[in-house]
Amino acid sequence: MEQKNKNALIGGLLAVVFVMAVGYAAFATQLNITGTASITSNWHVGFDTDRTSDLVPTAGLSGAAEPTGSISFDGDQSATLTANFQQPGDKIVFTLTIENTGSLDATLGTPSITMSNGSSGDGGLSVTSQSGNIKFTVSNPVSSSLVANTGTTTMTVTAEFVNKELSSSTNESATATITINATQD
Amino acid sequence: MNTQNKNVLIGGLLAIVFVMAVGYAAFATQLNINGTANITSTWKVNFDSSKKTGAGVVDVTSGGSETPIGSISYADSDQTANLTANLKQPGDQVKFTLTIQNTGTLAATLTTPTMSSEDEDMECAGSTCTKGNIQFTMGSLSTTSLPAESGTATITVTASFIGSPVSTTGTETGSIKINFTANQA
Repeated sequence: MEQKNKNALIGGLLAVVFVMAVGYAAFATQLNITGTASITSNWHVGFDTDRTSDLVPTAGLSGAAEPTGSISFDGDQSATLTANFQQPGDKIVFTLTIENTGSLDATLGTPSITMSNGSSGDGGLSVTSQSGNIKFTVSNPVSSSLVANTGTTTMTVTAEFVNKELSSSTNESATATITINATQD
Repeated sequence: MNTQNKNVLIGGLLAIVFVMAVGYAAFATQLNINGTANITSTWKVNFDSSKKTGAGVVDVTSGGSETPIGSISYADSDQTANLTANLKQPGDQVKFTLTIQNTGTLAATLTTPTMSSEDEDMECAGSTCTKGNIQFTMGSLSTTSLPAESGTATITVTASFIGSPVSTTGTETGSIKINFTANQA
């Protein structure tokens, strides 16, 4: 075949192939989905750590020195209550304030109280040492519902030197652990 | 042969050659091939951008007192869908349902979607991506075959706030992308 004819034929075939390639490439489309999720709320239920003096001591004997006690906080999730008793009947009632400073409503559950080497008592809200001399009692929160940002409530913990006819003459201490769960409403 | 005869001979030969050359040139014809290719079909596969809100498109489930929010926008000639979810509390879900449509004159098939993330803290496995309390779940395509002019398929993407009822404070954000291709059948 003459060179020019060959050249013309090759050029024509290339044109056809080009058109076919362009046509094929245009018939595939990529589809894309992008997703973004954000969590912007915050959850915060804890003790009001400014209230370290909300305790009421009561002497077990009229005219006797009152027991002493203190409230301290480790962050706002843990409160430590200390009571020093002198005689049977001594009692200190501690009041703890719980506040919701988060952006979600909260519900408080029933508190639980335990004591190592202790024994559970009335309705699960009190516990007494094995010697029977020291007793802790916790109350349900005044309100179990805490609205977002501003909700507050209080609960009490009573520590007492149980008034028995015969008491021990040795020093004695007991530690109770109280747990209360806050969940989203 | 004398000189005059030679000259005549040479002249004659030159004439013959000249005529032959002219004749040869006249007998060399360029052949041309003209090719025309026309594409009369249309290829169009994209998201149905009319579907942005409402039940069956953006479905929310609340895990508590707050209500999560979701929105859809489209870009790139409706070949990209952007999903945004604002989650409030554990249990919140926003389920997006996207519709892919074939409005062209050529049938199409869809490849299997793949989900990934450029966020190095997002862990992706199969059809789930998780980062902290945020989880994305990708559903399967309702069909991979889209007939010409009327074929549709749907795919769901769900953003969830996972985790326990007690959540961490602060803001969390997670992003994913899903890619798949529509090819001519």
